[in-house]
Amino acid sequence: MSLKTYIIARILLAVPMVLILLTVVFVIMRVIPGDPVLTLLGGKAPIEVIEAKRHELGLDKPIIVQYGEYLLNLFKGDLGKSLLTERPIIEELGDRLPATVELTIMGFIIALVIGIFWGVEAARRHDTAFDLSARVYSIFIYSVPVFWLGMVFQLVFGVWLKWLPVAGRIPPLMEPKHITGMYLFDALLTANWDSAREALRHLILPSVTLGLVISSVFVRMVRGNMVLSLSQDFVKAARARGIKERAVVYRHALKNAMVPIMTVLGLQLALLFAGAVLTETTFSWPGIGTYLIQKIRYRDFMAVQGAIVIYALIVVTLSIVVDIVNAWIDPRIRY
Amino acid sequence: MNIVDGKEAVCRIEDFRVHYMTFDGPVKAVDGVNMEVYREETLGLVGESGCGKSTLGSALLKILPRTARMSGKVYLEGEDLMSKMEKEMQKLRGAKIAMIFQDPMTSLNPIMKVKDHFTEMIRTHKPEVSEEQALEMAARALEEVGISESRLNDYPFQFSGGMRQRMMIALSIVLRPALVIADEPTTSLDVIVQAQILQLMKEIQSHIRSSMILITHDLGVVAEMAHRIGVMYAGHLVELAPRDVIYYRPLHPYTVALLESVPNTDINDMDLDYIEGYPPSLLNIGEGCRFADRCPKVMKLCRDRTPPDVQIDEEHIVKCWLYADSFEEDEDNASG
Repeated sequence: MSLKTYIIARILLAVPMVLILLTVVFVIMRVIPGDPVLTLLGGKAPIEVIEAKRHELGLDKPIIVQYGEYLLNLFKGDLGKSLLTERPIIEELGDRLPATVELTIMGFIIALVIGIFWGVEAARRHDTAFDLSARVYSIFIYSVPVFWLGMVFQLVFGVWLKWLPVAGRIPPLMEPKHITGMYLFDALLTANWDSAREALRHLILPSVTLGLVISSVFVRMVRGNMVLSLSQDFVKAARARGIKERAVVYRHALKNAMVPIMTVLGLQLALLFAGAVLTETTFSWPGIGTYLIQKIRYRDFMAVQGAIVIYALIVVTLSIVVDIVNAWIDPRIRY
Repeated sequence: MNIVDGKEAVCRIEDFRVHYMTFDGPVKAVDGVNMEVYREETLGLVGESGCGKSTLGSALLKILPRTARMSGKVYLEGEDLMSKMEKEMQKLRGAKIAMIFQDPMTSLNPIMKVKDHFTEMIRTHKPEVSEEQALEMAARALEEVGISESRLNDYPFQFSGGMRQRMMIALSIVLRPALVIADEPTTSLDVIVQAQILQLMKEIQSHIRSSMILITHDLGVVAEMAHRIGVMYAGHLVELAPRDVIYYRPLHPYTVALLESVPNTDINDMDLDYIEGYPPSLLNIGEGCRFADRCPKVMKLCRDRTPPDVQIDEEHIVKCWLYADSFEEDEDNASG
């Protein structure tokens, strides 16, 4: 099977997966306690008003019809309207998605750099003090709650040292021209250096927090798989052919080690987003995470449903990407 | 270049030792080996598991684990390998001294195409060679081992075990090394494929005129392949002689016992002869002959002092006190 056929097959396989996901979200939103209409109008509203609202939202229809309409609307890209603000949810999420994407990308890059370099070096110096430091680091960071780590950073770098801002994305009126909505990226694109600097300053603490949290698992996985990979015959054989050490470690050993790493990483994506929600909340980062928390607080049931659907779709998409990258690295997967 | 009795030594090994450092002390895996490999010859190295033959093979390329400490001298075409830095060794590996490994199923990078194994190696050693030229060289090397050029685009897992070993051979000879070390090249293959691979190695070797050290525990394989045979026991090279001398006139008690333990098909001799006991632990092992505890001809001297390499004739060396009487004067040099 060529890579192209594999990609098509993988995407087709995602269709039932998405359908199941959407159904689960729908069911969960209907079985959790709390009536959205009552919450919205308050307990003292006259019964006619409640009924009218219920009818307006379509909540008086049979559940199966609601389910059908929900899927149909999703297909059209309509997530409904927020009960609170009455704005289309897709718009509200659209405003916030770039912030979350910006944060997770930066966090992921930081985790990748820490994870690969520390993990690889620890494996190369297996059972030395350096190796031990990698293991202690990953256990320590893994056990620390994300928000606690974030707060420590805020205290040290924001309050004591006063080096970096502790909340928000950018000072008011400094937003760069809207292109992708990712401030740092847009500012760099439009050569707006002041905005870029400010966007970066705001991005550092949250993305480092998120990056460190993900890196804990990553360091461990890279280290473990590299120890295994470096002990393989083909690594010794590559050395025996006179291949340069750096190529042996990165081209031969690491690329082979990436296959199991990517697989686990795909499963860990949920952790990444859970971490993102907590990080966003700690740093008042106006992304989907804070949006979700806010809407849960107000029982804005449509908005919560919309946010979860978006998260679910992102996770599914990323897991497809992980699988494709994996197949690209390891031909045995696609044959 | 060394010319010994008209034979040119491609590789000379002098008082070579490899000790693995452990928490409990050094494991003396190779201890005081002297030998030469002549141009275009096959030197068979035989011995049981753990006798140090594979360690010796890998040590010549200096690809042992960090815990290994080497001492002594190794000259490859006159160059002193032990004084070379890692970067200089990288230039020699694959180009002047190559290795064929035991298990072809695991010795090739599973996620790299066949052609990339070749081009990476060729262009590492010869950066001036273009990608196309490297591919041509790869195609020719594959042809030499009987694999079609069209398979350059395949991955190792698409080949059978025998085919992969052919590929390993093609990889090891593509740059025409002076010395090829074959570490149990047929052990993991079935007998029919074994015979084909051995035949191929013979042909290739005479074709590219390289020398070969063939490491194996299979006495049948060396009988067929080797010009000379070195017998190793517990880190010592106990006997080194031309093949027929080893098979018909062995001197060292271990060689004698080893040959007697080869099963034969004589119906009147159904009992399998074997050597009583086990090889000694090489951890912190001291002076003395390492075969002493199992040797039928053991003397008191054997346990106290390591025997010297006794030169029986021009081509026959035995590390045994039984033959040392008339060579007293050598003894201090050799055992020191």
